[in-house]
Amino acid sequence: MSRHVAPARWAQLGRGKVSDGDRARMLAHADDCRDCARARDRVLGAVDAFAAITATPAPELGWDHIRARVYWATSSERRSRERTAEFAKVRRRRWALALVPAVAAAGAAGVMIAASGGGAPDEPRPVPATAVVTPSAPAPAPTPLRGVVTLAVGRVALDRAASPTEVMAGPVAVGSALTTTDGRVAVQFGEASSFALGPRSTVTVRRFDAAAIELAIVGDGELAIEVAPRAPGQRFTVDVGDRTVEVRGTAFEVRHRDGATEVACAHGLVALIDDRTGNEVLVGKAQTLTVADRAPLAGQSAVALDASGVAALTAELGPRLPGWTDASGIDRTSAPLAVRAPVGRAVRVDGVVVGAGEIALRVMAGRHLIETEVSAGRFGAGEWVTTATGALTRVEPPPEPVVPPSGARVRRAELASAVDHGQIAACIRSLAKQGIGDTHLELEVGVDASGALGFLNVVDTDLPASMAACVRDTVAAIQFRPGQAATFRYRFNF
Amino acid sequence: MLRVVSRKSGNLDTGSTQALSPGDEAALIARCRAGERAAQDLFYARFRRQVAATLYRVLGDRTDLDDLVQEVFVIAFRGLANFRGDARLSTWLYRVCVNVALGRMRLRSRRPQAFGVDDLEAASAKSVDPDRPETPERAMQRAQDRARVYRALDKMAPKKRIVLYLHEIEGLDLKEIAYLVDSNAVTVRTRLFYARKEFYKLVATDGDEQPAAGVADDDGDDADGGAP
Repeated sequence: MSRHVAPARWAQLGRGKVSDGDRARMLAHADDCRDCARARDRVLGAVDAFAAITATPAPELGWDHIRARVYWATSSERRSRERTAEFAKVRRRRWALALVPAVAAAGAAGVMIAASGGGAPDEPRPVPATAVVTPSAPAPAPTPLRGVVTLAVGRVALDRAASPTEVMAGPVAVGSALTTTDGRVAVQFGEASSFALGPRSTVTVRRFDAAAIELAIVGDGELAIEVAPRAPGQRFTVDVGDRTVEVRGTAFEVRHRDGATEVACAHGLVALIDDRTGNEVLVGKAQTLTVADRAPLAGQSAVALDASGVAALTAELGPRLPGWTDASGIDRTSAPLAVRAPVGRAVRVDGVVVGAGEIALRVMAGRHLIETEVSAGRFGAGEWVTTATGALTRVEPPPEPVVPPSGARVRRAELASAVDHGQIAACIRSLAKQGIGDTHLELEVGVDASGALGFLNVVDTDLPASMAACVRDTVAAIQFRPGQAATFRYRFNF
Repeated sequence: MLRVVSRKSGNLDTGSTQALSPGDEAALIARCRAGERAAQDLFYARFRRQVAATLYRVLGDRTDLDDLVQEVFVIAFRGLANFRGDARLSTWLYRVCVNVALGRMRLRSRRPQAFGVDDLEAASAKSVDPDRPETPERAMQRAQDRARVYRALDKMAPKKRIVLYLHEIEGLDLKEIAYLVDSNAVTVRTRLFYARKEFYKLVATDGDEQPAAGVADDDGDDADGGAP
């Protein structure tokens, strides 16, 4: 019996890369050898399967949902780039806004006192944009609520807590103030009820009990809210500055930026009501409405949101934990997890990207795999951590290996000056005699601190092997000076 | 140095839209870098199927495919700021896909998951060869062949697997693969040599208790790629 055939040879046969003689010998052998015949059938089947795999189309996925999640993950980073300049500008503007009415009021008071001898003028004070969710039928003995922070990313603050980890620990209750600069915070306060602050927002919790939830957006800000379907007869209202939004069980977002209020509704129905005139505009499912602060509501109408806009709206609410009974129940079943990744580096928890940079989030107790991005799209070796209920688990990815300053440039220049160019020319003389030019050879060179060659590899060339070896040997003869260790590539173009 | 990934079969952009001209591509990148939402939507709409198809074919099942597509685009939008334009946008995005797929393979090797090649079979149930009508027997045979391919790939180290996939299935050459896996052509060639040997041996002995006596380890003759 002839020699057995290696499986890879069958693949070559399947691609027609075997000579006729070898082909006949291999097939003849397979006729006599049952094992080789089976290997042949399997390998040729696999080669055929490649074409089918290549032709496989993309499966249908929830494209809009994915887009929304991408938007959620990237928008905070995008805005962080604008943050430094804009945040300072916003603060200056707030100071100016606060000073102007004060100066005006003081001036007017002085005039009135001078004219009438007493009584301050009843000047309207600037009203911060507020979002108020208020059941119209107050419970007789409202039970105080406590919100649980489920996600904190980037630069965020809760009262005196000023890092994601501290924010995660603190409860959200009456009097709490949440602030984001370049980050996001998501707070859950029921099985299907949560709110999330977008970047550059400040929200204070004015009332937080079973009867009413009253949140106030201070200055500009973004607040996405989802409240569970209301009980029969129960109503909710949202006030935004001098306007009121009436909502029922719904998911919506209120945004106050640059002197305009934007209300977007994912599902349910929202009515934006002008407190002064009583005019109202309905914002229904998958609709949005943007109105300047002092503009009349009459004639305004909501416009449709596209599917990706709706999905983005829902995604902005952030994660929610399952099995909500109350905040303490979540404390008993979940575990806070803090990951301190380098700025801008994505973090994956159990294979899912949750954000970038310093992150704190709530996970269910148990084992989780934490991975940190080390370069674009490339995650380092993950770390398994075991989280226990109630106990904060900190994960600090090991710092990226510090690459010593490259001495490649110095070593490259040293090679260029020290190499025996005459010898190099001699190596390729036969080619030159034949008039063959435009050839090259690229070397990968490793030189240690003492100047000794660590390695010297030909990584790319179109020279014959003997010439390449000659050039390589010529370079190998170079005596490098002691100095910085370096690994570099050097290309000879002939 | 490398500009375009050419492919013998298949197409990076599986969508119906035509490839972007370099000027349009540069404009799209600039708008995305500026954080323009409409541009990002356009970028996403243009490349989402390409990304999903690539990940789907590399990994062989659609488990967590949504998450992986999301991851690719998050990385892409973040990385566009550092995109130097030394490759076409689609090639660069393909590279990100490869890195994400490699990460998932490594994750799987640490935390094995249910094998989901059935998904792939269901998605490509139609016959590849129009001259050969699909019969139940042929469909079953094709399904077994595909399952065998992915079973063998799953047993390989991620680095070898991705190189083999890119060369044998996607039809890329060594330099293109070197760009995608951030390596050099010599290393890729070496890796491919050993990957081929391992893969076809795994295919040939798939499901056997022990390798059949007649399956040779190596006959020392590799005309395609050659020994390293």
